[in-house]
Amino acid sequence: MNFTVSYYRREGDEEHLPRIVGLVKLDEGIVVPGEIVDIDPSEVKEGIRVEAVLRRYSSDDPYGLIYYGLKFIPILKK
Amino acid sequence: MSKAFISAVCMTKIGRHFKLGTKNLIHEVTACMEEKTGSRPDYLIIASALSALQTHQLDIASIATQYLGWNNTPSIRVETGETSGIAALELAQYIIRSGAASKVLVVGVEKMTEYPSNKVNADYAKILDYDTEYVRNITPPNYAALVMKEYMRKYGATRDDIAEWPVKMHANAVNNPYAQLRFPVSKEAVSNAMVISEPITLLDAFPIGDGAAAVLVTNESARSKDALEIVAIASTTAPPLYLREDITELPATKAAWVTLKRKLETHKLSEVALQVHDSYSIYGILALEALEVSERGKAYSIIPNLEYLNVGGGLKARGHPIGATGLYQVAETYELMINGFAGKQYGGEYALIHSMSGPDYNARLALLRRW
Repeated sequence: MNFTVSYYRREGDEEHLPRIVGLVKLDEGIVVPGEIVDIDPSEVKEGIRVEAVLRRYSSDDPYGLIYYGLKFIPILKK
Repeated sequence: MSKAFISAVCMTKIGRHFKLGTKNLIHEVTACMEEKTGSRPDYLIIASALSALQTHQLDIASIATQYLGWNNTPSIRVETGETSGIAALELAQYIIRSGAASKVLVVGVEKMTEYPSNKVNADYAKILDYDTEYVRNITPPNYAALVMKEYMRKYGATRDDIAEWPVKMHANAVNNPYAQLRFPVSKEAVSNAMVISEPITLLDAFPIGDGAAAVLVTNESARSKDALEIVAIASTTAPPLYLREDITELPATKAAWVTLKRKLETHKLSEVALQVHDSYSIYGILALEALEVSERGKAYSIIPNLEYLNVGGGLKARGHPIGATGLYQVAETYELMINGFAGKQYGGEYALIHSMSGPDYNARLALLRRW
């Protein structure tokens, strides 16, 4: 529903800058914060339809823990 | 309950103090305080948000008393994210009012230049919910950017309208000897600065700097002749940003203001010395609206008219050593009302200080009165 393109450097998650961070309204009406991926920042628009996918959040190498969770990708075809 | 007073204040210049550690910064302001008051406090409160993460030190309050040689002085550390300074003041006034101590020294300290900014940014982002926000790579400036975009869309404000804030803050900081960024900026410079999280640029955001500030809170018998009364401190919390109906409102600030405003009698806030939390330009504007200084959607237009607003330059230009910031706000206000500060002297009766953490996850308002 609303997004920002972020260049904020944060230790451990700098490999994918810039990031698109948005507030996503689920079909059930709930709003969740999340990252929108697989789309170029110049192409993302307010109100686009997205779907949730399982992706890597970050890893704290060298300890070996990898964090996975939901991110959002645009729905290309309906 | 007895009354609580602010009897003396001390500040260090905010900046990159590569030669000073946390304990040295604390000592700078406690030495200043001992010189001013000729005595030691009977309780020490340390406000520090990041000390455990940035300097690896737990229980900084006890370690500080050891370093200062203040044996047998009770001490405690307070951490509530960006409001840690005012939270420490809140605790200090309760200790005074309870009668447990007569002189409580509140020291805010933050050492933020030990690491490169990507590490500081990561630690600062932990003021949000670690499990639901931090791990998803969501940071405080991202939220401020979403709020700013929504505000501009909803009220038709332009990028230049929002830039009124940093322009005013930088102009104020030029006259503040303790400020980190003592140079003026233009609206054009704000919009052309490096983007942090669009539409927020570097000149909408606070700088990273080290600093310490101290405020002595006393009861009536230990009060100095130049004192401000702590009339009341109201504090509360709010739901996470993504669960709010309207993200252009500061719900905790608004709720705290509702409980506090009846104590201000008939005074208008536009005539009161005011310090608001402006980690990002948009939050300063929203704070003015939550405090009813302005109607919703219009605060940016009255910024140039507010003579006693963030006289030291706000978080934006004075700087924001996270846990110390609230005490800088108090110290600047004390100097403004007692001795004159940053080229200004406020002759009125009341001052209001606003502090909040992240996108208003907790808010604290301190109402001070000339005694």
